Amino acid sequence: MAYQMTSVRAELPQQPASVSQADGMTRLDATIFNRDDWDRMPAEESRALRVEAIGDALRHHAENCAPFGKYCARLGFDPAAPLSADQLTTVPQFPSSVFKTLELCSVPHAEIVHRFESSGTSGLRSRIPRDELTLARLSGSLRGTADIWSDVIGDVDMDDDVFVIHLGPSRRNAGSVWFGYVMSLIELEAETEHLLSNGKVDIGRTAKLVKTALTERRRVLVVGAPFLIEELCHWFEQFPLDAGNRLFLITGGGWKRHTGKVMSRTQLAELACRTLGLDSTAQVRDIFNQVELNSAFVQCGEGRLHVPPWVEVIVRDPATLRPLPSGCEGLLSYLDPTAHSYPAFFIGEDLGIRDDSPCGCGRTSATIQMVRRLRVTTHEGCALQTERAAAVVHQHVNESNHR
Amino acid sequence: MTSRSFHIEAPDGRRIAVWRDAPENPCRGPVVICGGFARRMSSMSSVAAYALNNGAVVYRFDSLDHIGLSDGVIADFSLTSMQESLDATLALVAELEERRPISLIATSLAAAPGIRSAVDNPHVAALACLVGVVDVRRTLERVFGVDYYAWEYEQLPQNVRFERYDIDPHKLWLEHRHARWADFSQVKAALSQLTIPIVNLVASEDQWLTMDEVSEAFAAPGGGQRDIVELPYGGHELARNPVAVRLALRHIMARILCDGDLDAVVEPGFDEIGDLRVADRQRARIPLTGLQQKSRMTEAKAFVTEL
Repeated sequence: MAYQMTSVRAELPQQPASVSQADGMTRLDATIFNRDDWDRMPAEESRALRVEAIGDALRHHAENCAPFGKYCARLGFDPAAPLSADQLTTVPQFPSSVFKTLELCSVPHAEIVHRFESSGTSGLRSRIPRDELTLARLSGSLRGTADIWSDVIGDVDMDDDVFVIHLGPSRRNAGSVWFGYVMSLIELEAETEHLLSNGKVDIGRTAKLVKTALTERRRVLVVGAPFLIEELCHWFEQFPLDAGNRLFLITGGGWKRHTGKVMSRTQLAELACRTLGLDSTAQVRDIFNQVELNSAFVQCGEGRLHVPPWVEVIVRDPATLRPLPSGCEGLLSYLDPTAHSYPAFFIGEDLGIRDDSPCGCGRTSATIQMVRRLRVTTHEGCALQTERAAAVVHQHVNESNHR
Repeated sequence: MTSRSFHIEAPDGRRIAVWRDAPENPCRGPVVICGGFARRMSSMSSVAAYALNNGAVVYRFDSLDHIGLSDGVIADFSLTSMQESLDATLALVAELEERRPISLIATSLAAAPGIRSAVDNPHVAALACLVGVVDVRRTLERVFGVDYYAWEYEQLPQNVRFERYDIDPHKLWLEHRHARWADFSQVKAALSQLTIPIVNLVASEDQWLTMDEVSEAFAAPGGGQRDIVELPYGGHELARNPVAVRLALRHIMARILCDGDLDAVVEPGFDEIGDLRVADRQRARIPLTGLQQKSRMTEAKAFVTEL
């Protein structure tokens, strides 16, 4: 991204001062970093933000990422044409599996700071290049001063009164594993102790730290994968804690155990209340993200995952890829304009539901509910999927154009 | 990078916490960062990282009667305390840096004491303001929704709240009576005397500061070179927006350290700024003990703490 100063001279009545304008700031960045109440943004305003930001990102990626530009051309989609809200569902999206075979990059390679991989243990992994701006925006989507965290952080001083126990690596030790890095960003927000050492988390030490921090009357956030949080809860089964309303558990990274069995969020929250003495199951929150997505979705006390207003989530029919209305189950797909170094316009492999109905927590942003993972894993399937997706999206674009 | 922590004494004997960070090979004059109201020096990591990357030795401090590591509590905040803290830090820097010209970066409300100190202190060679407040009265009126300076002293509330802090308005009211801190005309008069270059970065969507106010202040007759840079979209909380910080600091560093050459500015990376932020937070938790805690300014070199 170019940061340029365009200098103009303005004559002021008495003593002329040189007045210039700094180009490079966008409404998207002002929202991510400076607007605290983005979770309650009026629908019309958030739609306008998405149209503007996704339109800008679309043009940037089409110009700077050759495979994406060609994909647009092949689909007959003109990225330079002004985008309207009802055209968002027609923006070209790759199947996420494409990121496993191609490195899609929209900036010069010298600007790439990190290449991140998905954390799967089998098969091919997505590989995503991120530059400074992309990383900063990701971090912004997790900003602790945003109201999405208000009922977790409360009205306390994050520097003095919040202590984070992270059951993972520090940011510098996270390497290329995406979710470890995402969760480690919490250290930019508050004092954090990282507890992953030599690939292991010492649950006994974690438990001691939790007890000490609570004794110091601080608000404690334990951040980690659900199975580790579950282990911590079990550690306290013999001698339950009485953490009350000062301990929050923030999960992220998927709900599968090592055995492959899926954990239940409700059961984990109930276990946490019983063993840690939490006042409410609402003190267990999840963060959703995947390596191809550059924004984090934060779960509210009602258990719904809130989508930031700058991300368009489109639920598609798994067979036809046609967009489905709110409340219908389908393939979750995303248009995330915060990614500057790669086109984060993709169709994921999760089945889920987008819900635009008002949330009990009072937030007005859309929410999603994950249902289950789609069963597509083979390498051979990727190219076929791409072709199939391209053909179907193309068909949908043509249909939209003729309407 | 070498980091040191100091406690220096204000004229009334209270302690002011100061941090000094130096790059491996300092090649430019010292920079002093004066954070705004309700912001600790530990939250100014990104500004410090820019100055460090461009070869400057960087000093930060927490104001008296404020949050942070210096004496006093924010309930008793006053602009006079902020200026005393700044002046004491500037004197320390002049001594430790052998009276080399100092560049001062003041954010938000700190611009008001920053301008006054720059007028009085011959070592300050440039002043850069980030969303620098010039009309204290109007800005505070926007912040609190009421112009408390227009009230009778006896009628003032016990506390007014800003973010999560309770502030006693009586002290601000009294210092205005004595030192006219809230008079826009005083700021304009100070700017008229200021012969050093000054730049103010103004965000177009700032709810507490307007471009018109800054233009009016900077149009005061006399004085040296004045520049205003407008950042589209940005709000007052510029320091937490890395995109705005990048734009603003690139411009500021070019002005105060690189002879105006934007291309000469070296930008720190996201991870580098993050590292300094984490280190700053840890440093803020290390208590200075015994001998290290107290130091008269003239003895400051002897009482530094190596981190």
